[in-house]
Order: sequence, then structure tokens, then C-alpha cells
Amino acid sequence: MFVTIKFLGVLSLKFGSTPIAVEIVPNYESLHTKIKELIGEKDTTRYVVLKNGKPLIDLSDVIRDGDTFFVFFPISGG
Amino acid sequence: MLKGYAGKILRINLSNNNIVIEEPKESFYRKYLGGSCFGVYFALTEIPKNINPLNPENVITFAVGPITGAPISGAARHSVTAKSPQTGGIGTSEAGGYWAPELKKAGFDAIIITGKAPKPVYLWIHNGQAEIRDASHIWGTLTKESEQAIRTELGDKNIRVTQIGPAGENLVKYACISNELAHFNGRTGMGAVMGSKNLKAIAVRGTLPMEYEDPAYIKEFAKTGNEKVRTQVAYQGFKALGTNVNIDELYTLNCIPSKNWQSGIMDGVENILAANWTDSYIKPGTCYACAQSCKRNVHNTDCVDPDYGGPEYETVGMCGTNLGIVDKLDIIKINEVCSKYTMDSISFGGTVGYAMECYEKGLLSKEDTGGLELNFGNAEAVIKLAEMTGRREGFGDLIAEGTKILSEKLGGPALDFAVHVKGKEFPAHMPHNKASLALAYATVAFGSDHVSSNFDGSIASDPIPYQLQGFGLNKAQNPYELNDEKVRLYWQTQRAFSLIDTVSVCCLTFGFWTIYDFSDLVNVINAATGMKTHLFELIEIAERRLIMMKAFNAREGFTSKDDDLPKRLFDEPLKGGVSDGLTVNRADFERTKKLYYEIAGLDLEGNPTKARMLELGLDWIEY
Repeated sequence: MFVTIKFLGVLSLKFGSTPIAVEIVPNYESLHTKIKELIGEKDTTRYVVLKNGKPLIDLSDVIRDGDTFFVFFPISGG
Repeated sequence: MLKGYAGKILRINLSNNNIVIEEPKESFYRKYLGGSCFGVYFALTEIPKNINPLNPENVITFAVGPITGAPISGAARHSVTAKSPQTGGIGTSEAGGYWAPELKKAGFDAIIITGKAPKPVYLWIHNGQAEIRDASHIWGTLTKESEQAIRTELGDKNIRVTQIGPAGENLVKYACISNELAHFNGRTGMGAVMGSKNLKAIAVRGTLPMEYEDPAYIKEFAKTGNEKVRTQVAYQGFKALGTNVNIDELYTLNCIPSKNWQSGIMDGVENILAANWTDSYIKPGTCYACAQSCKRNVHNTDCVDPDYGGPEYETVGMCGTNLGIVDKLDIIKINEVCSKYTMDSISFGGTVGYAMECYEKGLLSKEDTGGLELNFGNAEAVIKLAEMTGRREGFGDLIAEGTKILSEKLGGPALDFAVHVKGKEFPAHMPHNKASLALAYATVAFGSDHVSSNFDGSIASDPIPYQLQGFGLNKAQNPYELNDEKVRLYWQTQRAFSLIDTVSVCCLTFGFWTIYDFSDLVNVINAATGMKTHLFELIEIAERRLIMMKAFNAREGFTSKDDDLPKRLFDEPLKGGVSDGLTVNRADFERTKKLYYEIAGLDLEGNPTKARMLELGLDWIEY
């Protein structure tokens, strides 16, 4: 299925502000694999994912075709 | 004596011109380490109880840490500590820039200043020596003029100057201190304390050699950090966009403080998203030896003097959306005035936002404001008011007192929407979507602070970053929820951030998401000093600082009632967007506050227990 990923904050330097349509198997493992592949670095544990504008907490929540995921690197401070 | 340190502390009494150089024992350095912990120690032991913070007996301490001055990203900071004119409790504030390394190279780890000079003076500190010099000719000048005058007078353009502008001289409650014109000890009114002592500036120049235990490690350590900024997308992005990256996240979540905290959303925020700044007027700037370069410099416009630096996120939030302003040049101009006059842009923005709501509700009239139309969005009025505030002219004299005093003067319904804790206005992060900040803002000893703990977003989804798992946080939590796990997030990371301020390094290079983590911090302290420390000892020192601050406040009469949040956060839901309806839940707040007290070794009034003070070797404290 296709979902949309939009990178925010520091990650927008690489990806810009345009959402990216990606094809994944509808589970969170596949989503994270895709995110890491896009970010492209070996140490990518620090990003946070929002689903449809809200924090992604419940991993039993089903991924549906057309869902939007925001991905950002959570800084503290500023 | 440990390496890395200068081994000397300068003590100056401005009332009688007495200058003394002390050499504390190594055991003192080991117990309190440096930076803000030094400052808090001297505040607790030397400031008399219950004095007015603007009294000459207030003691102001400038202090650096064990690795300050090493050519490492983030090792260029110093703390300033005193009794705060803004809160009446402990005040402590950090700055980056270039001054701190120069003080270390001039041969001092700290300067302790008491008394009041009979007329304006500045201090001149150079290679182990100190003088008190006349500053009458530069009193009243803006910071660029006074910096140039001092360098010319002393004949060295490499002198580093930390100073106050007119706001400090005029005792604006939230006056700050600036070095290199664009680096600030921003919060808690430390600039007013300097002003109350007739102390205009401290000029330093140092060429003494720095001695490290393992200089080869230090060199390699610096290269590792620099390489990460050069090659990793997150740090490249942070360098390019600075702390304004916060805007992107908060815009998406509709939690950017708007119009005196009435809402988390307003029209036009797209204009000030992070990339829109760097596309036009802002480019990276930096501190001494720092590759991360998250400071902002202004270019491509002649509407301001670029030497005063550009707005970072806090100014964009509190002098931007909080005032209904989303024009980049307007925010840049407001930032410049705050910089020139040395005013905390967070507290200025917070106070003006409050005044704007009062004006729109008819609680302040055009007559009260001296003709200024203080509607949200009127940037021209804000710029004029900023200058008036720095000079304490007209309505600016009242704005200079801050939200708390303004609200008390207006009274009645005006009290209901005053947003401050202990008299200190909020930074631009909303506890509505970063729930643990409800605890941080309420309980931090020096008033609401956004760099005393890690934000909730850091544990918002699995996998939790290893840096936080190492502090015992390993389960994703809803950032909007204020639950027991958030108490742990606050407490565990509060101690870590306290360590950062004690070592006097930058939380934007050493921390939970940064180029260096806490293992790195331990290693570089050992490489600099040879002290063979470990994280357990360092966290204990950090906790010592926290408990000493609470003891200072307890001595001044603070209780649990002072660890509270404004009514607006509990009773007035945010309006609009995905954050519509959000509040801080009062019951959750009271319950988690009580739990925090227990974990932190505080009694029911939020004051340190004897047991916790004994555990930390602070049983000498009485309050």
C-alpha cells in the first residue's frame, strides 16, 4: 500500500517540505525500515513519528492506505 | 590541582575596591565542579537572607567549567548566578559566545562580585590580574558602542566583553547580560543585578596556556564532533536551520504559543517555518570552536545591524506568534532592540503579549499606553515599546516590571490570564503538548525553563533513543499525557541538564540527541582534568546543584504554592486546529508534582529533606 511521509525540522534540509509517497507492507516494521532507508544513516534511532498529525503511540493502530506520517528529529531546547 | 581548571577564583568588592585571588582546594572543585553549581554554592553561602536582589549585598558569580576553553564544540559557556530580581529566588543563567574561554585563559574559574561601586565601573581582567576602571563615559550607551570604547581604551581588539546595555542600567526586571553583542545570559534578570552594582562590563583577555591531562584525546574528540556535523543529516540540518526547527514540529501539532497563550495556532505561521528563514534573512552563526553553529546571523537586509545577531526560536515564538506577529523582518527588528538594550526577549515578549490582551480587552487604554495601539500584530508598536522599556520611559516603565507586577497593578480579571511562574514568563514551548514541561515550568527553582529537562517528543515513539534508555526511559509515552512516567522523564533528564549547566557546556551539543552524549562528557572531563570521574559522581554533583537551589528558595520563604502554573493553562482550552481543546489537567498536575517531590528528595512544600541533603554531602545547609 502507499502512505505519505513528510519530514519536518532538521530532516527537511535533506527532503524539503514536499511529502513523499512510499510503498510499504502495512506494518510498522516496514514503515520504520523505509524511514531508515530514506534517512540513510546507520544511527537513526532518534526520530519520532506522528501519524496523521498525532503522536504514534499505539502500534496496534492499523496502517491504512493514504495515511500520512510526519517524521522529525526531536530536539530539546531552543 | 586538577588540570583543565585555572585553579583560581577572583573575588571583588565594588564598595571598597577590594580584589582578592583565592585558590580553593581540589576537594572544592571535585564537590561542586564549576559553572552554575559554583554560582549556586556562593549564592547560598554568601547572600544574606531576605535581601532585596538589587541591594549591594547581593552576590553575583560568573563561573566556567572544567573543559571551558577547550577547542571543542559546546565548551564555550559560562554561568551567571545571583538572587533574581525577577523571582526573588535563585537566579542562574547560561551564555555561549566567546567570553568564557577568554576568562579561563586569563587565569580564573570564577569571579565573585559583591557591593556597589559609587559610580559606574567596568572590570578589566587579564592574565591573572584584575582592575576596576571608570565606566562613566560609557554608561547609557548601547552595547556595540561600549564594546568598541573598551577595546579602544585598552588597546586590544581581541578583548572579550560581557556587559549590560541600558535595560540593565535601568534595572529592567528581566535585563540580561550580553557578550560579543549577540550571546546572552538571557533569563532571571542578571543584567539588573549588574546594573544595581553600577557594573557596566567585564572585559577579559587571556593568553595563559591551558593544560590538559590528555591533549591528544581532546584534539581527537573535537574532530569527532566536527565530523558528525559535517556528515550526518540531522546535525547538518540543525546547523542550517538552527533552533527554528522547533517551529516546524509545533506548527504541525498546532502548539506554537500564540497571542498570549490563548491558542497554539494562528494564520501566517507558514511564513516563519524554519526553511523560510534560511531562504531569506538568516544564516548560521557560532560560538567559540563550535562546529554545530546553531546561532543565527542576519544577512540580506539593512534594516538591522547584523552584529546584534538574529532571532532564534524563543524570540520567534515569544516576540513573534505570541504577539500575533509573523513577519520575519519585524521579528528581526524586535530581536535587535532586545539585543542592543540587553533585555530577555522571552520575558519581554511574554509581558507585551499579556499587555496586548489587556489592551484588546479594554483593561489598558490608549492613554495608559501613551498612545501605543497595542493590538496583536502591531509590530511597529512593539518595536517602539521595546526601546521605551529598555529606557524605562512612559508605559515602558511598567512593561519593565514584567507580567506579574503588571497584572497585580491591574488586578481583577486581569490576573486570570497572566502567564508566568514565580514572576518569570514562559518560554515558547507549551505544556499542553509537552506534558512534562508542566512540572518543569512549575518546579524549576529559577522559574519556568525549557532547558532544564528533555522534551516529551523524545520518548513519543518506539524505539526510544539509546541515550534515554540509558537513563531508564524505555517505553513510548503519549507526549500530551502527564503521567508517572513523565515524572521519571523530568527527574532523570533534569539531573542530566543540571550536569550540563554545572560543567558549563552547551545542551545543543552535549545531551540526548546531540553530537556528544553523556559518555562522551565523562570521557572529555577526564581527558581535560585527570580527575578519573564517572557518571554516577557527576550526576550526584548535578543533583547537589538542584538541591542547593531549592534550599536557597526555601530560605527565602518559597513553598509548594510557588510551584504552580497559571490559571489559563488549566482552565482555558486552546482554540483551533489539532490542539483545540487542550489544557493541562489540574488533578494530574497536583498528583505528579507530589510524586516529583518524593523522587527528588523534597518535602511536601517542595523544599529539600534533611535526608537528601545528607546523602549529597549538603548537611551543612540550614534554611
